[in-house]
Amino acid sequence: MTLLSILVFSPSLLTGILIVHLLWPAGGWKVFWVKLFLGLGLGLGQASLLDFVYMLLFSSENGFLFVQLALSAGLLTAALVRARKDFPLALPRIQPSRLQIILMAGVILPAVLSALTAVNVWAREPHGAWDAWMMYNRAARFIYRDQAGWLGSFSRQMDPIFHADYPLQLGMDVAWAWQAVGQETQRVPIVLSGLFMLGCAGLLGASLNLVQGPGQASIALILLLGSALIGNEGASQRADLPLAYFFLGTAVSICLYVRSKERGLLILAGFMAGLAAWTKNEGSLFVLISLPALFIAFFRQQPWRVLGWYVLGLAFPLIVVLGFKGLLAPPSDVLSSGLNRSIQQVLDLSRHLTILRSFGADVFTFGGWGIGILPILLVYALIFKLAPAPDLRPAHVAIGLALSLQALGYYGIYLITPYDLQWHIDFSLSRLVSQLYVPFLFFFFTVVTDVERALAVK
Amino acid sequence: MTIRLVLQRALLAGISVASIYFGVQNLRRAMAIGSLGSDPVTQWELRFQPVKKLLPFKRGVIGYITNSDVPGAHYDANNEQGEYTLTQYTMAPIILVRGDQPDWTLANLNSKAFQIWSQANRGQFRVIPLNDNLYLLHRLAP
Repeated sequence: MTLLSILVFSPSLLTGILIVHLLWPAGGWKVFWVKLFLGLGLGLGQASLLDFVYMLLFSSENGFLFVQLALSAGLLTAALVRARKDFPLALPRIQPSRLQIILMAGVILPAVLSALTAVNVWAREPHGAWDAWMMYNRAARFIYRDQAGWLGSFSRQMDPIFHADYPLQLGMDVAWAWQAVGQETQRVPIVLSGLFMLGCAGLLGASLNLVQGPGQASIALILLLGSALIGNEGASQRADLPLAYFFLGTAVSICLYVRSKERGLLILAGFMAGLAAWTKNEGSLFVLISLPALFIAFFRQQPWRVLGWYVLGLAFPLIVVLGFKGLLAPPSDVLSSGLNRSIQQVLDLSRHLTILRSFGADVFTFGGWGIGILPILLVYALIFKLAPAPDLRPAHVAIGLALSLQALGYYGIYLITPYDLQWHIDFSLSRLVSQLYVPFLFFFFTVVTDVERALAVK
Repeated sequence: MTIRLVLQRALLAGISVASIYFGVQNLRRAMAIGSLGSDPVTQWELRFQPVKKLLPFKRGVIGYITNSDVPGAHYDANNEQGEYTLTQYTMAPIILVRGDQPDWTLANLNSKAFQIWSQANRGQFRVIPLNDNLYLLHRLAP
């Protein structure tokens, strides 16, 4: 059943990789790995979006797998026709330096430990952590167990604690895969969480390998895999790691656009941001703040044109999200305080102090390394020095602004939350920080001096 | 070799060792979650299998009451919330609403709470007793 659960996603993954390839035709092995890991999440995302549309039209049919097979076959044909005879990939002649070998070897043990951790979490909690079965796997069950009446899954009679208003990225993917394999097996959400874990680590490594080099990619991966984010959190089947993946995908696509000026990458960036909104409500905030961030970053480089291509990629997922939120989903509880109470809460100084104290504490402990990974990165920046490439400046401004505004948005949500503030912070803050940690690692290691250059003995 | 180079190498070595050390800690933490082959969610699902078979519809709304809904019965507030969410997950796509207003209600009551409840609601429900302190209640026509 595990193999079948992996196979059922393969047409979607191929579709994602081919969409990336068609939008960004660059060649070479370093580019290939980025395409592979960008395509992985994009494939899962497009499948979820399309299944939502499919279910609206043909809720009593079971043919969505064939839609994915047809789509992947069509895209494969298009890619082959475009490639014609000169297949762009030739086997690479890799001659890594001694330093590169040492750094890359340093990734192996943390990667093995993360994989073992994930397998243990899956074996001991096959239904996932609390939020996973309460929201995402519950939503999948509501859709799968009565397909013809699936719109009843968003009934306003459902207790708000189950968040029937949450976007359906994971729920739709799990539901259609259950339909395709013909049974409700926990292997499906487990495989899905594994794909996002692989995608997150893979995309971080591959993109830094392309933008900086294998040494820089290795250090970032050692930091990522040593935290609990991949092995523990990723395997828990919650939506925070998939959301972090889509934030990272957006950041990577923007950075690669700045390097190559391929506008297809802006379409990809927009699509990734839209998929973030389809994954969690925090993703909708990301969509909102990414627009001014891009405008400011490209202010001197035709910002409207940049935004135009970005919005083109954003359009389809955003239409689905808005359609779901506007027509089907019950109201969100987080914004239920009402205007007067929200204003009172914003003006309450004690709430600001509580949030700031908690943000500070979390920054200094995040990652479970005792002193916190973020202070370690500060020391790293002091010792290795910052050396941002001038040609990547718009990317750094866009990503830095987007991450800062996103953190500010989380601050604002805590200010107006209808729940007990301390409970809400204790329950969610570390996961919010983890959502930003992966794209921040990418940002950080594109700004700090390349490790191979720094350690080159003169 | 400059001091900066020494510091850089020491920091990289420290990060690598810390990553492995905390990777092991993360693995140990994962191994401390429950036990293999008997996760509580799966056990909870088995408990509710008979309820789903007895309900006359596949999707709809039923009530849900527990010890906390019975005046005078003892209950643990933390358990109550956890059991409610687990039961909703198990019963999907049936929607559970707190209280006994719908035609059908699932009662998760210990024997003492059930005694108190049945004395207070005599003649209003048809009671179908199930295993493990579960009762399916069907409201009788007035």
